[in-house]
Amino acid sequence: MGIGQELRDVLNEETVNRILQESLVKGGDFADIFAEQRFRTAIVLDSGKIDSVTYGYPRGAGVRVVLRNQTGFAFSDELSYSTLLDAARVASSVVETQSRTNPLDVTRRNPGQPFTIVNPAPLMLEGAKLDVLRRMDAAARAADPRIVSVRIEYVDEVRDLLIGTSDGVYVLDRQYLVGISCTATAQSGGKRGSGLATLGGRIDADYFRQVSPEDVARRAGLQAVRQLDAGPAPAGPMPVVVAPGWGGVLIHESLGHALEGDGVRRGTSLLTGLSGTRIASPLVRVVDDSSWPNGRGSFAVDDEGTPGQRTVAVDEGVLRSYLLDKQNAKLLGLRSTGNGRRMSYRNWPIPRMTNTYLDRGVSDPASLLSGITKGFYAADLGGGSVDTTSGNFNFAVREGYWIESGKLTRPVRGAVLIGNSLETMQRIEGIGNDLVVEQTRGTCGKDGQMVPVGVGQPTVRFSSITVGGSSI
Amino acid sequence: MPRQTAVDLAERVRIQAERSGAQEAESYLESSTTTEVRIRQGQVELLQQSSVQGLGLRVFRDRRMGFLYTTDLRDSILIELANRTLSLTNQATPREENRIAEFLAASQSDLEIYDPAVVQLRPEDLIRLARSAEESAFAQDKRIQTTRDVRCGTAVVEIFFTNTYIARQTYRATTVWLSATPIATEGGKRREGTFIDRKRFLADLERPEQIARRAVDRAVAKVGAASVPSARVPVVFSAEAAGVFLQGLFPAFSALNVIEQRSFLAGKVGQAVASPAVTIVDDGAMRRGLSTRPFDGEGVQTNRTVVVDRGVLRRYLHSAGTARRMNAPPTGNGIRSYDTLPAIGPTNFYIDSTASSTHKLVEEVDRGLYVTGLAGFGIDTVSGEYSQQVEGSWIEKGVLSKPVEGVTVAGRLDEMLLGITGVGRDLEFRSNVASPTIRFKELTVGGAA
Repeated sequence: MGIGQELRDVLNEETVNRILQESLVKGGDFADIFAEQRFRTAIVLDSGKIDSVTYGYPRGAGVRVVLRNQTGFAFSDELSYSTLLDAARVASSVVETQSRTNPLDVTRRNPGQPFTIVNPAPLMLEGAKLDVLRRMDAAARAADPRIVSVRIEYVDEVRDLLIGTSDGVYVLDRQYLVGISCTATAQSGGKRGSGLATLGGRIDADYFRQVSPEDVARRAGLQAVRQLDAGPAPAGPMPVVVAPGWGGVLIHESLGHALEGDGVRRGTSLLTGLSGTRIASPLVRVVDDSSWPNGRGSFAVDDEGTPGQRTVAVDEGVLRSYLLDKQNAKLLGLRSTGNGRRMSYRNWPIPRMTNTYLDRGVSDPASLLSGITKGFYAADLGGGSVDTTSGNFNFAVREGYWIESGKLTRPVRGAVLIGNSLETMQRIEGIGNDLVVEQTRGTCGKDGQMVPVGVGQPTVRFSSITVGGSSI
Repeated sequence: MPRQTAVDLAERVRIQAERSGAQEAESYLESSTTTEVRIRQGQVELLQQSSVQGLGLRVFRDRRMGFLYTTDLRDSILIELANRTLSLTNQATPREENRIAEFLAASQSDLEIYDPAVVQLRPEDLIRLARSAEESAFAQDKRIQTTRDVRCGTAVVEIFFTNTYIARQTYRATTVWLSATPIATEGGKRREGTFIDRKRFLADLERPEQIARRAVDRAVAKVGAASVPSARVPVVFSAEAAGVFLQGLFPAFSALNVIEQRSFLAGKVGQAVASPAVTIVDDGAMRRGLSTRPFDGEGVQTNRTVVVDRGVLRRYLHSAGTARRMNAPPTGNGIRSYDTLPAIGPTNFYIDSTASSTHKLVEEVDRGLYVTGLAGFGIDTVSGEYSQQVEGSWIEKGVLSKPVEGVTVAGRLDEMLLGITGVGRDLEFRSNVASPTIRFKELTVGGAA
């Protein structure tokens, strides 16, 4: 069946036009309809057994009406013309204005795909999916006799969406996503350690021939085992080097959220009014790119129908662009950068990151350790969070090491890294030439909405970050 | 959807699954309506009103389990999905515990989780409450010039449950909330503070002025905050911070994590895992509790479980499956929504109040840290390591002397719990996980050099 055909059966151009007219009948600047249908498969393999298999089929549509900074929103789980007309009436109840906007008739546009997927991985047979998971389970267990438990979670989805907007856009798209996580637990002499490794992205089935699921699972096992021998982490400020790839979550938390247009428009983001000024070390170039091949945050169009794009947000340390959705862009006198995203049809779009990375530098990664007498190396990170008003951010370290006399020495456990965005961005003193954009993990939560994202960076050296361990 | 239609639908789908080859089946239909307004600078920034209807169907065949969920409730779709799920179920591994729960009788007493006054609130009422909180925030302190927003909302949820042995059981529940996030500005620095109250009954909700005052106090307290030198000192967690800490600790009490060796508390039943001042309870039947319900996501009756009794670990918390695997009575902790499988989670989970004075917990500290906020993912309930970013105040000779941020606190969870030197009496439920103020004997504060 054609992309979004089932959605189109209910919402063709004509019905969309009529609903949009109803949405703006009391006034307003803008209205849109977002209809979505997902088919999800989830499998959990725990202790070598297929614990559960799940099919999910959520579908519905949301209607939004915008007047300047005001938003009315309503959705329906039932996809029918009459329920969406009701939703339009509820959404329009927020506006009370004399000014009327007549919606433009929508015209269908075909989104240009940023990359091609020939055999989407979510369409593989269940047996093939289970085979990958069983291979991972065996490999993680075989990594070390001290591995006592392995849990593998698989989830994929095919997401069809239909967007109709009062500025004339009508677009249908289909997005594929796979995420697999492998968590291993090691135990020895009363000590426990856990390890995590992930694979997936917006991928072709062929991916599983290019990336070895066994190698990935083994990494989780070995990371768990290394925690057993790890000592307490240091506490206090010191030079810190962060490994490439997932380490980019540091940029995501410290700078990325403050770039998002809602906080900027409200004046609550610490980057408000700093466009064109230096906010980071001159080495820093930050890019948000929804066209990154196979990235978790990649798409052809955002959830407002704006084509995805590559945005250079910071260049040579100077703030060049915020990350914007339609509403906040308009209020700031700017244009959307294709960052309007929603968790589902039950949510209104807000400005979000896509695949956000600190761009490659010129240093040999190994050279970034040299000259550090005593410091901290973050080989793998966990989750993080930020307060975009103060700029204070944190993230957990999954795997860390002491740096002593320019070399990695003892493993440590139980560390977090904390800092303030602008201070930390000034303290970047070396960037490697080894950029990796992590496409396999990354789910960002904001305002109760979770969306898949990519993060990335090369090896990065900070002159000083506060490490929160228990050893002083 | 009308109630009768919903009840019929849930039952019809379950029976259809049984006819198609499920030996046992369970259907869980959720119907809810949520309304929220957000006010900023007196204006309505957001009004959203939405109704959710979703169905989750679990099927069991030969000790294998399959699950489907959907919001598309057309008969033809449901039949097709049920059949696909049954065939997918053949791929799962048989497990002895894959059966419908046995302990099913729902509580008969009135749990007081449904307030008609909440249902009757209109968007205009929510706007009025939110505006009044925001105006009050501006009036409290001249350093408050703006807010991130003030939110007020209601949710009304109705659950229809049926399985092979229970024709039907239902409940409905209400929630109302009001939160304020004012931003304090001083000397070019901005700090925000949030206070949120959530209740089942409108009459229990804190007044808008009170919410504004507490949020303003928080924002203003952060202005001028700075780091402190690293030190090992006594650390007091405010009631709210302690509640967030307890939430992070919950996975250690999950029986599934214990079985799979993913909890630092595995194998410790009967042992002292915390100081004698600490009693931890999970109570899914607590009157007016935010997570109170007559039965859990598997139809199991909820009840009160003492998890840690005066420092001694008594029980882990269970779903029906883990209770079978450990041969233990179920605890009614199979938490779910229509679109998730039941998984072990907290109902109303709290550290119990003691008779001790809350103020003394700070007054008795010569030099230490008072923590009001925690952030980040540094609670590792597998290895037992703890480290989080915190904010609060420095304690000097029993008095809060200066605001602190940019520091971490760290320790080992087992030592921390055993080293709790005081539990206050200020337990209040604004979330389903809560605690009074608690004091740790000594933690590592990581800060400035």
